[in-house]
Amino acid sequence: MKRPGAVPWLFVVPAAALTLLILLVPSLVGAAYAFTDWDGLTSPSWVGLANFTEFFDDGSHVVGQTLILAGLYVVGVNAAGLGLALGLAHTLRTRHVLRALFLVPAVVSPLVVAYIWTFILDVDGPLNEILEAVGLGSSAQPWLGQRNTALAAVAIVMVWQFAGYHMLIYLAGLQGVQRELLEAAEVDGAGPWRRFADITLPLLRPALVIGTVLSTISAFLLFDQVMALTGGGPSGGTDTLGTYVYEQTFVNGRYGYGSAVALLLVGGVCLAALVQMRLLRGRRS
Amino acid sequence: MNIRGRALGCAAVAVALLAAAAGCGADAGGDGEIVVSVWDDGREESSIDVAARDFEKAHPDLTVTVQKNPFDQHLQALRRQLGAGRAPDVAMTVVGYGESGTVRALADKGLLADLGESPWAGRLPDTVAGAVGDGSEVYAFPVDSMAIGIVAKKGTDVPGTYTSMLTACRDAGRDGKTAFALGGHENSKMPHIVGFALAASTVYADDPGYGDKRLRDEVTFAGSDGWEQAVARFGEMRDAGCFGENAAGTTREATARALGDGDALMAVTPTVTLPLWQAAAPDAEFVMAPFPGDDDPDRVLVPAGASSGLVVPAKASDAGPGKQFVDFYAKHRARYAEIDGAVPALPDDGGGPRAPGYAAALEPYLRDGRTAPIMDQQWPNPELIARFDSGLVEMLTGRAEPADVLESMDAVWTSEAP
Repeated sequence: MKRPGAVPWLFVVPAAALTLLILLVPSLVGAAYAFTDWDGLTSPSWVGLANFTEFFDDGSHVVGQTLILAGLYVVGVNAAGLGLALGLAHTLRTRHVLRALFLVPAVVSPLVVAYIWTFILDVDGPLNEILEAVGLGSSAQPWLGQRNTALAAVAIVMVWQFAGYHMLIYLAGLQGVQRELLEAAEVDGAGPWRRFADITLPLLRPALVIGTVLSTISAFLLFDQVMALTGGGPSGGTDTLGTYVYEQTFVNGRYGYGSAVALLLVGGVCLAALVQMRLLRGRRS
Repeated sequence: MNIRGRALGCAAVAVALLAAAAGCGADAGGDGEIVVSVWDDGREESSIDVAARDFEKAHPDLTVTVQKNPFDQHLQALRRQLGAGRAPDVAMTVVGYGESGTVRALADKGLLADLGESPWAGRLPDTVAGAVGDGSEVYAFPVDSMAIGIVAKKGTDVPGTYTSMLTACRDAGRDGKTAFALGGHENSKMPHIVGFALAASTVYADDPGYGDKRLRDEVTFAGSDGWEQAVARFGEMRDAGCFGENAAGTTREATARALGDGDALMAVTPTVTLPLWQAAAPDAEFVMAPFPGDDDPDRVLVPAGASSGLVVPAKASDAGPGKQFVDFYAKHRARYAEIDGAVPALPDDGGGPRAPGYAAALEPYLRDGRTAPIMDQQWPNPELIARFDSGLVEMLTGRAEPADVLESMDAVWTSEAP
């Protein structure tokens, strides 16, 4: 067999060098800064695990808020995406137009979507005006200004934007559900719920794995929507790990501490993704 | 050459190319070039552009390159440049502490050159000196001034005492209006401005040196009667309905609309933000008045100081030309301030105005020295201002008491920039 010449190396080495210098080395250096008190200006000093200890003492509320938001988003966006996919898979004649419509928010910049919703949810915004117009003025709220509604508002905006994207994942998954199986089950007397629970859902597990893993990663890395919608407020009530890292690192100039939290965040995302994949694949086997 | 040899050869070429690319983009000028890094203020030609042109005419052997960054990225960009040893020759930044890339924060790290020998350095007003220097050295030329007061449409009956202000709040509520537009939304950064306006009277009227004492760790916020009174008065204003029911979730944009539409009568704001209010009501004429933080007129002080400053990084390749440019700008400051529509922080020898025309009511206070510092310019840890804002928002929603707010601030206090 003829051995490859120099040509493949000419393609591989520059790309590998760029990846090494732009991605891998900075990431490793960033991880090392997690164990220092670097302020981005002067020489860092080694502080061991002090940054991690401080985070576990002072930043636990951010972990809680991130987990709540992730939970709301992962469940919401996958349920909405699956619902849309089931509704638009076969029956409706307008399904192709509707699929495109539901996908539109997903191709708009999250920052733009967040600013539009900030306007809608503002105290004097359209949502409260509509509530007042239909006689529900008592239900009008400062949606982004209360802890109990702000976190849910962020999750709803994210679900609204990305439900169409997840619909696509589940539509692709539904292509693998054989119509004959469903028809046979129907002949055997299985109702719609039974057919969904015992045939469609088990066959959708690969799509569920992709959907939940992708949405979990998005939820943990959530940043721009929160910054635009609430800025992490009220009083830090919607701060996530992503916004917390930004504030500590770039606003407060604590690059070492920010790196430590970012390192924990990366570890958390990897762990959550691995657990999900293991659980869902385990069930399939 | 074998495969390993070829791979090493390719790698060497790639690394050499990357290294060459990384070597480009050094910001500090050289060979007669002065690099000035400023934020983009949206004007087609700001005073710095004019100053650069004037300076080149006066010094034909030197050229000035003005680099502009978006306003919200400028301080971080400056930190990155300083941290990487690629400092410009001159940079614009915010004076005092309060953020991580400001004059005092950078000076604490030893990153700024001392401008104490400059001809203007000996004439800095007390309201400005602490924000651009540490008492022994001067690190920035203060460019423009700012003051905090009440903005309202011309003809609005602005209260003159603290008690009459509470009455005005209740009256406005009865008329279905809000006395003070206040945005408690996290991105609005407005509640602390009200806190500063109150503390000017309750803290600094009795103890003008409070800020310096706090920097020396001789006092605390929670242990200060003045600060306790300031935050308690914020609660009294809330109870009197001064800020309306939904201030906690209101954005700055919504407050501007409320003031423009007449749903709100007034707002507490720095002079430099007037264009934001004006943008929401282009046809309205706004004026500014002092905020009555107390019933005793002698105890009503206006928080005032410099806003931005020009610094010369200590690591600039040759500080001489940079200092020359700063001194040139300082010499013609009155003209350049006029171009920016601002008021120079270092008053002109001829005794020019201390406040812009729309804030003429603040002029006597500024001229007579009845002022207090812009408080966060004396707060080294940037987290402190976020704690103060958050605490006041928590008070708006009834989730915090004054002591909680002040103890939370003491918890993150540091006497030097972290």
